[in-house]
Amino acid sequence: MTKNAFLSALEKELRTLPPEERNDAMQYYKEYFEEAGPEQEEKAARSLGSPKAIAADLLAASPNRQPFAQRPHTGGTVAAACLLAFLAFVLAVCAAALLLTGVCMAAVSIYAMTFSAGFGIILLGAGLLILGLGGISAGGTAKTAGKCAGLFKRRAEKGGSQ
Amino acid sequence: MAFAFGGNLLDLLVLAVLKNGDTYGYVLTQRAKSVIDISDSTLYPVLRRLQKEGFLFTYDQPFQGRNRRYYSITPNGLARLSAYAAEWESYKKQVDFILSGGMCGD
Repeated sequence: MTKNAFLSALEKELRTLPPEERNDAMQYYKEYFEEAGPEQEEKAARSLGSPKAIAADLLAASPNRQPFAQRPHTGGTVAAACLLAFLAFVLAVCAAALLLTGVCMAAVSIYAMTFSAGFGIILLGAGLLILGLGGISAGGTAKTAGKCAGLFKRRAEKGGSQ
Repeated sequence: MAFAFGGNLLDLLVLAVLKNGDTYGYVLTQRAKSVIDISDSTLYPVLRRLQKEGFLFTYDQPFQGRNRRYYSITPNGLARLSAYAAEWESYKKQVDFILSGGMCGD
């Protein structure tokens, strides 16, 4: 590894440290390479070890880690989750209505077939169609609710890890 | 090596070296490596912690167009080193006692 590769990797791994601590560490290792000299760059990098490992030790020793700026719009996450929850609710209502209607139509169609086969069959077909739509709605509800729950869970995990 | 040179022993090492004069990270590490088996990055966290705990302080000195950060022991650091030396004596006595069969009683 070259000196610059090592130092950039180290700086990246240390990004959750407070700036003062990170700068102190970077200065130490920069000076280390300078003392080793340009011809010894690769050798020095090897003897120093992996930037990841070095950073892990420093992070473990530091009580002042800053949280990752990974999801800057955590407010957005909550809003999106609420929207999905609402959508899931609407879909659930539709699904329930469709399923109920479909079942009723199918039931009535059986009865209707006793006095008009044609009418009964048409009614059954329509009822099954509506049942199908209800099923699709129900599926959509489940998927939306799942996505919503996932967002809430991730939000909770982010909050908990800080 | 059978026994790990870590934790407090590294503190002891750094303070003992600095007692004999200020020095900078690279030299300190090269000297330490000639005596014990450590990596080139082992001492930085030790130096950093000792500095935070007030046992040493740093100052910069330019050299040939670049910077050298020197480490220097404080009075607290000297006191801490004496305490380590005393603990080491007592620890050494215990191990020697065990090795000489002292535990094998009459």
